[in-house]
Amino acid sequence: MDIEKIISDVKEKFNIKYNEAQDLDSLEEVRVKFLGKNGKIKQLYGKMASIPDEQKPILGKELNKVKEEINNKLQEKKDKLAAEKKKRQLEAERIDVTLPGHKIKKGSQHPLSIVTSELEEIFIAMGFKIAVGPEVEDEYYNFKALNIPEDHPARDLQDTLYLDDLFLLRTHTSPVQVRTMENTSPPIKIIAPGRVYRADELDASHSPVFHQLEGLVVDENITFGDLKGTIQIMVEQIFGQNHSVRFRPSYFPFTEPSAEVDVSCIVCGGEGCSLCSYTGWLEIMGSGLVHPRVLKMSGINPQEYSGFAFGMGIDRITLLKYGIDDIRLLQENDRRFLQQFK
Amino acid sequence: MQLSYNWLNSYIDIPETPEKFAHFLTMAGLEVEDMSYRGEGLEDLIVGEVLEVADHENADKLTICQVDCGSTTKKQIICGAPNVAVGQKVPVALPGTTLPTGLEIKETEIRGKKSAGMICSADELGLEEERQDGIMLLADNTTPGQSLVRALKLDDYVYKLDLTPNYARCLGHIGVAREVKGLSDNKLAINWPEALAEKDNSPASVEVEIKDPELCQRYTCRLIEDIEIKPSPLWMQRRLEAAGIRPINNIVDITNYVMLEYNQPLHAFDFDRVTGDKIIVRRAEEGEVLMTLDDKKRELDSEVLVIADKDKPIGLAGVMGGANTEVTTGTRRVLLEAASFNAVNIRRTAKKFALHSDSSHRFERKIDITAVDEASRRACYLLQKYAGGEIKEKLVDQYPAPFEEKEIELAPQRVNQLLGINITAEKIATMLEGLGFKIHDRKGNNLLVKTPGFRRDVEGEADLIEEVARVYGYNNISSTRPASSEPGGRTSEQKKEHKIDQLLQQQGLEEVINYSLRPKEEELDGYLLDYLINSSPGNLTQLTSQNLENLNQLQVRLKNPLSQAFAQLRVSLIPGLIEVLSLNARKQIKEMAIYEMGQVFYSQGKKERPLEKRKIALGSMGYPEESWGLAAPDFFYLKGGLENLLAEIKVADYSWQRTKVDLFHPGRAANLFIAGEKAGVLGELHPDLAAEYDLPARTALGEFAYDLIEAAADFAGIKYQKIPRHPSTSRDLALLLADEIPAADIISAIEETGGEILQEAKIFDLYQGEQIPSGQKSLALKMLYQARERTLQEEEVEEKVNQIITMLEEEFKAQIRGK
Repeated sequence: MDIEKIISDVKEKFNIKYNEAQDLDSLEEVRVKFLGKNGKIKQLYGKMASIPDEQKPILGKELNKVKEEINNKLQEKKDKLAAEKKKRQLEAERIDVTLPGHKIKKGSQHPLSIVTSELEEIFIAMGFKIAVGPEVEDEYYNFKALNIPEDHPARDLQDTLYLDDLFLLRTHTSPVQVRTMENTSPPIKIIAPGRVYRADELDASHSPVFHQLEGLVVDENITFGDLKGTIQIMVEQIFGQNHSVRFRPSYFPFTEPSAEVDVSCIVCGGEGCSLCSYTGWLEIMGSGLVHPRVLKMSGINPQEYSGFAFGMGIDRITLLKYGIDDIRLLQENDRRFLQQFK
Repeated sequence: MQLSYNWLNSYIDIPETPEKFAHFLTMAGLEVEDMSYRGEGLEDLIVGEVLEVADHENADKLTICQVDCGSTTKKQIICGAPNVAVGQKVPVALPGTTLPTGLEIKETEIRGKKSAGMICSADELGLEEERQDGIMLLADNTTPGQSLVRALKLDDYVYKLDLTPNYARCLGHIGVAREVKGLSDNKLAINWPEALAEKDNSPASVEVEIKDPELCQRYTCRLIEDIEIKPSPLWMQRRLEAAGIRPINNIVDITNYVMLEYNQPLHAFDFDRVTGDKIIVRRAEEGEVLMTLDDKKRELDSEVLVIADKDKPIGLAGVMGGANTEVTTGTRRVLLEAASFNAVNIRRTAKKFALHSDSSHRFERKIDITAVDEASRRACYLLQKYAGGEIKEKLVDQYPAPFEEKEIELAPQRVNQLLGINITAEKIATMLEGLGFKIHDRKGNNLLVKTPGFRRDVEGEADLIEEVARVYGYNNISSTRPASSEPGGRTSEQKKEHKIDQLLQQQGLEEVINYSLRPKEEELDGYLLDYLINSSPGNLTQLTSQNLENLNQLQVRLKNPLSQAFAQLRVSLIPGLIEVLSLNARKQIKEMAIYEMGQVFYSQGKKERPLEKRKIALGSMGYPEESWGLAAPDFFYLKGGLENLLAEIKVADYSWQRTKVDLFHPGRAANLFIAGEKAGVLGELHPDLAAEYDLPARTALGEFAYDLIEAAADFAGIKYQKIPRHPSTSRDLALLLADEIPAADIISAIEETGGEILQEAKIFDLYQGEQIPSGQKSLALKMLYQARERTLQEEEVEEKVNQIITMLEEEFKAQIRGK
């Protein structure tokens, strides 16, 4: 038996089929044909019994060699074809990466709330706590306890909406000062944001319903300088460092000395423009040292403690901060407006 | 109050230019609202003298004038006015001048004749509103070439002051002069105006009786005879105009003028129309009637103080004079009143008659009672000089309760401590004296300060400290910070609220803020009572202590609403949310989800404080993703959002129950229960209402009690739990069951039967339609089994599932599909 020929025949036949196979399925067919249970190699092993004894080891050795060689070649090509297949597959999964991304629905915070939160954070960082009070008040908390007697011209400073002879809608957040002083002993350091009401006709700059933020500090040795320092930090934080602040004498029945706080105009920076009525300054809040009579009425000894208070319109600050020119937009809730404050 | 720069400058040398003076005033506490130049637009006009007038050969109505304009050459100006004549002094606009009307004057030729300017009429100069018949004629004492602004005494600045009630002293020019003096290092002196010097006047023939000294603390009057009514001098008229007061005649103008000097309202009665020679200051009798100077009949009562003669009231004290004694062109004798009335009473009277006058404004704010006679003498001086008045008699002066200067003890150390400055007692004393206070004495280092009559606003130490701060300069006080070092922050309730806000926004909801005042009549009024009863926590009747029969009982209405649109407090946030969605839908916005947190108000009956309740309300329209194939995308979106929120803030004990509310679709509304208590409602807006508001179908809304949600929330103490190490097993079940069985009942029954090893049971599909008998539905459920401490055995899970199946078959008559 010519072992050499047999082996080379097998190799030759394998190589033809091998080269013909161009995908994984036909390659598998080739594997079955040569290395399968009834494959060519198995058949040749079957011939072992019918050949002379001295040839048996030679045939066995050669067959093992061929088997290994075929195996290696098949594996090699299988790897290659598999890699090509995978590549094709991935190429087929190509997407248009310029299609828009999937948007997740996102809500938004109302600009008044944004400014309120911002103010709250500024004051919290300065050691303030937050206090709240009812929107329906009575004469005592809204006026009398704040040193605003009946039949005093100071009543003209704000027009009040009444519910009946006993109750009214608070015209400022200042009643929260009184309620806080009644229930807390100094040191007191609070802000009180909230909704307030005035008998004002609705127009571009007035609203019967708006929002204020009140501040109150009562402790030993509180000074007018402390008021100035606190307000200055707040203004820098909310409007930016490059704004100057000025304090000028004013009148609020519940503070003495009283001061109006102006900030240099955010549009013209002090040059004068229509926003600031060509004065270069914008009025942003009222403030002052708590009137000793107010302290006393709320049970705090003015000889022992002093304090300062301030109050600002959140709506006004919101309008100034974002350059909104009509206060009515704040409570109209047009989506195209709300969406700008995300 | 309108302040004239020139007028003020006649009492004190104003240390600032007109422009800088505005700043000075504002920083002194006299806020300048507006500043204007009286001669605005007339700066380039001059005075001309007409030298010749000749006819224009080509035009009947035109004349050719030669006008002396002060320069070396005279100008030829063509004029069309009928009243032009030689020798007149007239306003001239030379070429290059622009008139206030915008007309630019050029050298021109009119019908072949040169014209080098224009002679103007008063309306062309903006000095009269109506069209004038001819050119304006100027006083003879003006000179050609002189600036018109000067000739007309319009070279003045006017400051519109917004004075707070404590600056009443500055309602007169002299009061402002005092301020200027006190705030200018006290270097300036006040140049007091001339007043009548009393000589050997005869005793008064008029008698005064003050019946109620509470309401009238001082009353003076004086008879002035032989007066001649005519216009007041030009300078006075101009000053009054600058102060915003229209000149009438010399008598009225002088009383107004002195009021604007001394802040002392004055009144002149025509004495020949007063019956008898006795003035009585008394309360009106009930039913008495007085016609005031504005020709309105006033019905008086005993709260009103009147000035009366022996027969009748002749003036509403401190507010307005009576028409029956009005000064007219024929008046020969006047009785000049200068008095001081009770501030509160004047305020009430002015309010009662809605008659806010310059006089009542000043009396309400308290005038200087010590200067009443001085103001009267000043007016007498002017009446003598400009009205020919003859003054023979003495002043009648009833002054039942003379002013007592208040003494305030001021500790310099207290001033320094409160203001955060460091100045000496002497410095403080100088400052206060500059403003007119008297340092009456010392008590140790303390100052005993007496307040002058014109500072009745100063009541105590704090007021004096403000005065020191003003003189020191608010802006010269250094900024410091309070010493306290206590940390700030939010309470746990406030943190919860903050978190809830953020979570709602994370669910895709946009925060809105609506007016808490609502219209008098609401479109939704017919729905609200039913809505509130079916959605509010607890028993509304109990809550508001009222037997509720109609919505009115719950609504809190304003006593004095400004408009119908803002006439009551809201009882619910829902109407506001519907309006926001509607407004947006009408602006072509298809999809929007919103929330609001805020107060609602319920009346608890008359004389009771209304209840304030905080609510969270949600609304959604046009949500694009469907949940269960039930065409209820907005409902389930809001429900999901709220459930996410509840999960995040660790509220576990809640459930939903079908409910019926007229506002909502009859089959699509549910109450939320938290810990067994009704916490609110979620529903699809009734299709009829959706259509009415132009809202897309399926728009959903919900409103919930904030306090219940907040009370149940507990996310402060998060405690870590070990991640389970043992594998979990899941089982799916498909059930066929009657349509009306709520899915929530199935889940809770499964959870109960599942015991400890059932970690979660949830519905992942609902199917109705083909293959499902009508009246039934198919629910697909996924159950997750897991034990914390061990690996579950298959048999164990199998047993549980079988128990659950048996339970579902028995209790719900459910068929297990694919079994």
